[in-house]
Amino acid sequence: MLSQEQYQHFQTFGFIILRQVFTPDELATIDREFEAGLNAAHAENPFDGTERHFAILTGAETPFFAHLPEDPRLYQIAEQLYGENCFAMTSDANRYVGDSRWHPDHNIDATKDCYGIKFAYYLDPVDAETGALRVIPGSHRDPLHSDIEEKIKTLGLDIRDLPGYICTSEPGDLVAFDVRLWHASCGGRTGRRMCTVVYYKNPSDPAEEPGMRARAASCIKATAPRPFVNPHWAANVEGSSKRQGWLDRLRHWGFMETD
Amino acid sequence: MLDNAQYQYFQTFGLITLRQFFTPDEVSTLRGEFEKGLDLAYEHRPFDGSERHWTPQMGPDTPFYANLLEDQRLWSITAQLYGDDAFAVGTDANRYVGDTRWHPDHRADPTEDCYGIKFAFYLDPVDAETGALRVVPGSHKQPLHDEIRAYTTGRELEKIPAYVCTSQPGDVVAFDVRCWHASFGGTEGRRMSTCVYYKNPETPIEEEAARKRAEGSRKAPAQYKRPGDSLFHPHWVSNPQQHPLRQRWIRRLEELGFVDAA
Repeated sequence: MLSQEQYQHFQTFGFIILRQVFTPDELATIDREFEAGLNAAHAENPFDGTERHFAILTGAETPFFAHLPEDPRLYQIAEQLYGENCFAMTSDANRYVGDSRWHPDHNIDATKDCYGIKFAYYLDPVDAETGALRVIPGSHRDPLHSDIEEKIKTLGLDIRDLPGYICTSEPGDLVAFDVRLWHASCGGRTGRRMCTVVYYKNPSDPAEEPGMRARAASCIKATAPRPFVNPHWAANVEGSSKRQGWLDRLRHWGFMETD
Repeated sequence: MLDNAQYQYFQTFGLITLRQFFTPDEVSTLRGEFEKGLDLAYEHRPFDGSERHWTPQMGPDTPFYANLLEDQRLWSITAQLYGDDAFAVGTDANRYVGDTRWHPDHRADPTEDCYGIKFAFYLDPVDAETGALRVVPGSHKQPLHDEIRAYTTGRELEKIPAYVCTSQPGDVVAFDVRCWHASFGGTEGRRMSTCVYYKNPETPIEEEAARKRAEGSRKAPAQYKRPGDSLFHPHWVSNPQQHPLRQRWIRRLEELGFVDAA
């Protein structure tokens, strides 16, 4: 759970950095599963630095990643911020190539897109020059979000020239941010390792439902022909009631359909 | 003037850094007048690192500073952003002590306070660790402005996420006075100057807010241990070169109570 100050920080600026959430033992496990999971997912095209590698690690081979959404250190924060009926939708691993331009993950208009929280964690130290996340504080809300959207093409600036806050991070840290926040990164080495766990707010208004369904359709398309929700995770063999609630909502909104 | 991209940048984030705005010769003049102006203002209590020194630099001893407000490079940007009827309210020199906690210079609601632009320029290189200005981009607008106020109220916070405006001598950091800003880690006696312009109030309520600001501003010399000094040097107000732009500013400053009516 976030303290009152942390809660207000997140609401105001749209993100918060949580230091040393993972223990050294957990980091060793994460490290091992990251390599095994991404290598297995990309067995046919091993990483050579030409393209980003990404995999959802919710299968049986990566149990720590698969169970991470049910870790109270994460889901309690998600529920505190986005309501008890928010739901987990991914736990993934990424090996990046090059810079990430300024972008928000989701549209600010809740009738067009859903929103929620992303917990990002880096497996190597990152700072301003080595690919740390840069964010525009407060840009998860309007008018700042839409102002940036309207003007970013006119500005035509290098990533470093936008007035961002740099989220330096050490292994074990978590950077939690609203998926509507404008963010970027630059200067990271090829193959830099970043993982995320994402939760979406459940629509609270019928007007928000089409946006959620549209997001589900794009998620399904992104992983096709593989299902977006890993069948092992969906089987919920341990009978977790928390996960079952999420599965029910994922099914309801269309994340478990096939493309 | 700002180009279109710079204009959009300022409107969106409330700040912009203008690199090498002043020439090396001008920086040298600024440094000379900075020392002279502050030394004269504080002859009675020389700087010893225990308190900030501040003085307007609008007298005949600091002619470059005194004429800076009319410099087209500054005025054209002000007029572009805040209107042709904006007016200058001062150019000054500061020798700082310690950190400057998070604050906006002005409130965001124009019915409570006037607003405008501050051009800040440092006479020494500054970065994140040595007192550079930190600004929360976009905090000149609501709701972010008041949300930060709510977040900071009752808390002594250093770690507010912000953009660090690193600066070299010659650079100018221009920001809307409603932006939340701070600085940390600066050396004792770090040298910073500003030129400030306000947007002309549009309604009687806004005029009243500007008058309230004027009342507070006139107390500044006394707050900085120079009770006999006026906010505007009589030499500047006498407008010896009869500059029409300055004359218009003076008229408005008199109407709003920043300067005693002639």
